[in-house]
Amino acid sequence: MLSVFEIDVFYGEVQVIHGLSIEIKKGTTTALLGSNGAGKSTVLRTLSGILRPEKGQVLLGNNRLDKIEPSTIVTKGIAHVPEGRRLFSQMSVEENLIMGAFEKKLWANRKDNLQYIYDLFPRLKERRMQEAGTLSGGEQQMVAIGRALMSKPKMLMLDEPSLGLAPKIVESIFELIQDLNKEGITILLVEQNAQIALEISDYSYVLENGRIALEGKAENLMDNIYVKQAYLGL
Amino acid sequence: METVAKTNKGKRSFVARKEYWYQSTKVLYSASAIILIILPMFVGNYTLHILTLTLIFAVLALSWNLVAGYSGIFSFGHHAFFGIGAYVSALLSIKYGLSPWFGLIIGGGIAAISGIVISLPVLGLRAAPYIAILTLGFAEIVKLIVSNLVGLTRGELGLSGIEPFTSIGSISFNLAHRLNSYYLILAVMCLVVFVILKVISGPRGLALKSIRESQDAAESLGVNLRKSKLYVFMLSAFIAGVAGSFYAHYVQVLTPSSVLGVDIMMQILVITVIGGLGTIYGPIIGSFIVVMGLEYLRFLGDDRLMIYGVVLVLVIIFMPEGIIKKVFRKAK
Amino acid sequence: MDVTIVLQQIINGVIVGSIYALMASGLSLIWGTMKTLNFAHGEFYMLGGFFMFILNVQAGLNPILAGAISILFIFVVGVIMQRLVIHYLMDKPGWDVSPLIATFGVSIFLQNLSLKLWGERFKNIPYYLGGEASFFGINLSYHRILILIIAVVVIFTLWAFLKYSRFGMALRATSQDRDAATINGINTKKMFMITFGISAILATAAAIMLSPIYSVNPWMGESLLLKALAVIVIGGLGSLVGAIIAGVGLGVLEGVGILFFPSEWQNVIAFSILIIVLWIRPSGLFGTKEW
Repeated sequence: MLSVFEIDVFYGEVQVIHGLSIEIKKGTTTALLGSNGAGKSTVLRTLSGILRPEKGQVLLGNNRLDKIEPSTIVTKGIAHVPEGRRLFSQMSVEENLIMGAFEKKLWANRKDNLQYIYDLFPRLKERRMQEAGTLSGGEQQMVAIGRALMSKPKMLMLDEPSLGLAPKIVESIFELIQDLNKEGITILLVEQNAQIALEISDYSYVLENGRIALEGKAENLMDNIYVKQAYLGL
Repeated sequence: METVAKTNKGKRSFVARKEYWYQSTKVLYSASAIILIILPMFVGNYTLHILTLTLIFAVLALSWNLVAGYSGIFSFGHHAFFGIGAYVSALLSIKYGLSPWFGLIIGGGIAAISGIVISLPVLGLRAAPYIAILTLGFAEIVKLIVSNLVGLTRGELGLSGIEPFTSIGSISFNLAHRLNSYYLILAVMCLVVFVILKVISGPRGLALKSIRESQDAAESLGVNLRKSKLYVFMLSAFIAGVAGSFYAHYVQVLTPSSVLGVDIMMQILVITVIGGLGTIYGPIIGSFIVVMGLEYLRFLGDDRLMIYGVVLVLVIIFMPEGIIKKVFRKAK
Repeated sequence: MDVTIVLQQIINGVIVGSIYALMASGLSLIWGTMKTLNFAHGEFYMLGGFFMFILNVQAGLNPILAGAISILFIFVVGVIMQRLVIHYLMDKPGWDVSPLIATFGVSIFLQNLSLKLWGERFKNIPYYLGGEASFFGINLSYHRILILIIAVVVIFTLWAFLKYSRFGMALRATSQDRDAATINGINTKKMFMITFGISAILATAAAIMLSPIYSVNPWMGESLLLKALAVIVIGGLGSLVGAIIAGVGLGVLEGVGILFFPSEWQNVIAFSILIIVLWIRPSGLFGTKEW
């Protein structure tokens, strides 16, 4: 579905990603693992157009995503749940969700989509008029995922959805991710918590200093002694 | 909030830059000496007048550069100090017959005091837009006071017949002896350059530089921000006041709009930005380009100012570091 | 002192203040989305006045049509200005100051351009509505009443646009988190242009209503810009409600102040309040943060 071919990405003058290639197959869950600063978030930010690769290509089917206007990427069916949630903190929960349906066609059906999100997260319905910045961490993550789902994505990219959340909430969020995957949404997951990510993913990449250090089927990686030591702490 | 990262277009090359003849310090200094000291002896009165105005504006821009370029406090009301210096000195001379030489100091002094007064609210502010609005408002107040106190200043009718600087021995400074006035302002400018160099290379300079780089860092380094800013504002206002006072006794006519109008601020901005913010010679070179340009483009009539507006925008977009860093890299 | 005179001045003050609020809300909108000031905002007002003069007086169009066309034109001017100037400065080093200097340049350019095109003679636009209303001993021209109505309608429309419309919400989203807006499909570059356009519309609305009272000339924007700047700072930068309250408040203060001080001291009072407010409460009366 989506393939990344030998991209170089810079932050200012610092190169963060070096000739990275990944392949995401339709309907699968792919995980990007690696320690802090390995460049995982940078990859997602490049895929959603916030950053542009200096070299290489991002291909969705035959379309170059790295050449189109960044704001149109979401209309191609790729939704991004960014690191730190990045809600519109002074807007209400409902307004945040509605912004996920900014595209004209979606905008017309925003009420229906909203109902779908509220069914998914009844908690958000209770809080719909509350300012997003005043929510708890778990609720904010729900809004972030809900906002991304409002665009009816074919592929959902999640950046550290477990960060700073209580174990119980993490569990339910990962259950939700699995459900979404079952409904046919392709998942690209960035996680520091390798164990939980490997459990739900089909294929995984391990990033180190902006390069792929290791890749393989999740179950194979799980057995890999290197991954065990470096990321699973076993 | 994360900023959108910029792509990495201009990778720095570490190849030594070729040095052009005009970048040699010796060539530069001898050329400036010839241009500034010797050449004026051979030019006509009109050119001499323009040169004198150029140096007055150079002094004014130098003083603004001290606050804006060296300490990053962008005041948009600097023309107020120029006007205060001009009016104080002119009024003292007209009403009390005070010698313009004392007027120069007192004009600068009153400007410095008002600099301290306005720096009090400025000191509490960090964001450039707030400082810009505050200083603009201050300058507007000064302008309104001067034009409203008709009994004292004759308002928009203006003051005329202001005494020129009193002769020293046989050296006269009236309009028949423009060369002497020129050398006087040249001396003032050199003194100002010297003082500014002294300030920026001293401990205060270091403090100022750290304010410009980062206020938080400066604070954590224990730099006394208030004191440094106060000092800069005072010194800068004093110099602007002296420039204003000189202007008053040189041109001998004053109106609120000629010395307190926003277009003076525009001049200062264009001069400094074109020449190069935070450089010592930038304001001087900028002044030559802008004031002479304005004069010799007089045939363009009102189009001149239009062009200057466009130039200011283009310079900010394409050459924000100013001419001096672009061309005379070594002369910095 | 006669109560009716004071009342009359308060009402006049509210009317003038509503125009201040209109001007200030445009500046406030730009601050809210781009965190900068537009020193050429007064020139939108000035151009609005000239367009109205040309269309209404010279071309003889009726005020509503002339006003609508003026608004459309100045909207485009605002968009172009953002695209040609501000666009190139955003995300570059020096962003905190560069737009101030650049818009200052634009202001000088536009003032002198209109001086060249239309000359320095002051131009007058007749009142759109003649006659005046009298009640409780207060006289109020219909035109002034119209000013108040238009100002309220425009400000209310702006509020509703920001609150409920698709673009208005996108604009708020952009101002709060640009990257997040982008990944939700909002073209933030377009949003910034639209913001400038809307800001220009607000200034034009002010110009259309105020030009018959004052006159149209190349410098008409300068003093109103300073007033509007004072208003947004007093109200708290970025706070629309603050801008409205401070605008009307300043108008009333000036209106009543005229009874005690000569009118030429009016602006001195306004700017002194500005300085005092900034000194005591840098975030403005309704601002929440110090910027």
